[in-house]
Amino acid sequence: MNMRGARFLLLAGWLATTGLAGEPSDPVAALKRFSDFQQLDLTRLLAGEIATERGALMDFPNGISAQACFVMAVPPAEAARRLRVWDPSPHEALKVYSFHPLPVPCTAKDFQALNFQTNSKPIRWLFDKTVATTPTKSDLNLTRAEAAALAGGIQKQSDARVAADCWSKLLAARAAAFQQKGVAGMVPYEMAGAMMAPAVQLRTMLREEAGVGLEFVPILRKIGLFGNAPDAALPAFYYWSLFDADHHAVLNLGAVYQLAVGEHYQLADIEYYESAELYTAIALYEIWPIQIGGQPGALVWRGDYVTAPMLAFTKGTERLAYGVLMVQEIKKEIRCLLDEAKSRR
Amino acid sequence: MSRFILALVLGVILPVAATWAGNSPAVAEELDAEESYVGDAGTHGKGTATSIDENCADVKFVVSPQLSKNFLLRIGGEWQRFSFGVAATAPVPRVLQQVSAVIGGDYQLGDRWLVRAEVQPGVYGDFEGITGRDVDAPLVLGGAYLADADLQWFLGLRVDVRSEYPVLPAAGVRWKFSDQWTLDFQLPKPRLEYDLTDRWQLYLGGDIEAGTFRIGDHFGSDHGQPKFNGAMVDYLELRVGPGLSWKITPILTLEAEAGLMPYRDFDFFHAGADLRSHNAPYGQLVCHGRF
Repeated sequence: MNMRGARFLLLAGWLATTGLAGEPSDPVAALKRFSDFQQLDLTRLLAGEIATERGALMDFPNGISAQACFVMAVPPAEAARRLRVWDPSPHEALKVYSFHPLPVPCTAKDFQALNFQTNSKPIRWLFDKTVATTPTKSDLNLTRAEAAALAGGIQKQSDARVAADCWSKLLAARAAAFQQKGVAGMVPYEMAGAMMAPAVQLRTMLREEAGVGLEFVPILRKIGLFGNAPDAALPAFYYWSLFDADHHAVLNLGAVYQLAVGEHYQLADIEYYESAELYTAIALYEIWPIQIGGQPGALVWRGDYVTAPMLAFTKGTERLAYGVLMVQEIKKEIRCLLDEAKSRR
Repeated sequence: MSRFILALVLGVILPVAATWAGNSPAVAEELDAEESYVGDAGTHGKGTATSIDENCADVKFVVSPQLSKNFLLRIGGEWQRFSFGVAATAPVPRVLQQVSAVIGGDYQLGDRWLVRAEVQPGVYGDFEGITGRDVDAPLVLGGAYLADADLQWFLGLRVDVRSEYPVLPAAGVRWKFSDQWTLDFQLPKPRLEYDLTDRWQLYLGGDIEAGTFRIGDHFGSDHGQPKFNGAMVDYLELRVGPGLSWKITPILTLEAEAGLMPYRDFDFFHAGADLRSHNAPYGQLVCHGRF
């Protein structure tokens, strides 16, 4: 670990102990203190605008980030609940094929909805890559043991049901490990040559965003992201989903944690497993109480941090373009969330 | 003399670029190298009928450090040389060459636009007795509108005050319409691409090679046409053909392409004369490095 990282962790640990992190007075001022939003017009947010900022290019070669800010016309506790359990799959624009909550503990049966029998080309791609996996070679994010298990369970002419069963076992094992051990249960990927540890990548990215990292010390520490033991009492919503990323279907596992910090809330949505295209991702939310026309409302800040293999080879303008596109995707997702909330009222 | 100019330009640019590249991982480096050969093409003009073949080499290196969150500087150099195999009496320059610096930047404008401004000050000519009149600084302005991950629109403008057409606009689109197919219609190299695998790609491409050059003060007299002395020539060459692209590593790509050069024009617009070539085969090898 370099000196910068060591200093960050020391400071983070001290702040978590003393409880000095995240004691907001004015929500907008609190938000400006740690985020990229140095100019923020609350009036425009109240009118429904979603403010966004692309993250600066990171030194970390696989990482990319973006921030967003918006208002939800519900009290903070309700906003936190909706964000925690939100199902994006009904929104076609988001290209999420399936989204399912996972119980604790979970088993392979909880992935029964996984189905490769479809004409969807992106899902067909995942099926083909699954069938092509051998114990020593795969384009998917797997350990050697997982690759061997997939290769052993699936023959070349295997049907889609067998592939789904193999994946169900694999995903259930990963989800169970995470449910038991938290971040320490995030098993590294081994098939791309060098070992790739998603948990290390998350820490590295948040070290680069020191302001955000410090702001979220309370929840990140309880999750165990700093290498400490996680707080088992912290409520989490576990899920799995199947979505499209660049015309390829990706299976992922995630957990959303929620923590009340004084009058506001922090959420951390960790995607602790991605089958391909991405390595890992974390979306951090901070939710403050505000008044909207005399009614309680919520000011939400969201920061997205994603690591992906191909990002290591996109630099300069190309990386800038990826950042712009990432902001658009996040904006689209938030718009769907807000529209859904509006239609409920 | 040409070696001196090349050494001077690269000597100034490359140490600066290398320093940036060595100091920060948040710095992009682009290296593009191209070598091509165009076979004999019948060439006709005022009182001239001849046959020309051509060798073309192009090397461009650009370093792009992030100076602020929304601005990336671009600094580097380019050398491009067209060498023509032509009868000694034909009024066609044996060489058209550019040695230039690349200075510019990329900027994010609003939510969806990325814009680029790039000026290439340098020497553009046949390198027969270089004078200050061989110096030029064409400017390229471009904008990309990122509609979404699969669709981007492009607008561009090339400004070269020495050309007969000092301002040339262009528009383009990149549309990934399926997992394997992409229409990358960006000038000067529009393409229809088909991904065979993650590493291999087939494409049908076009290529526009163009530039404005000044030829030597004695070129016309040496070829019995004094009006060509010190003349400006707008050079234009079109190519179309299929190619194969191989991503050897994620940072290094090789391309091999062959096809037809349907049209080439040496337009001595001040002298009111041009020579045109038609229909010759060509082949080219290209290397792209992104570090």
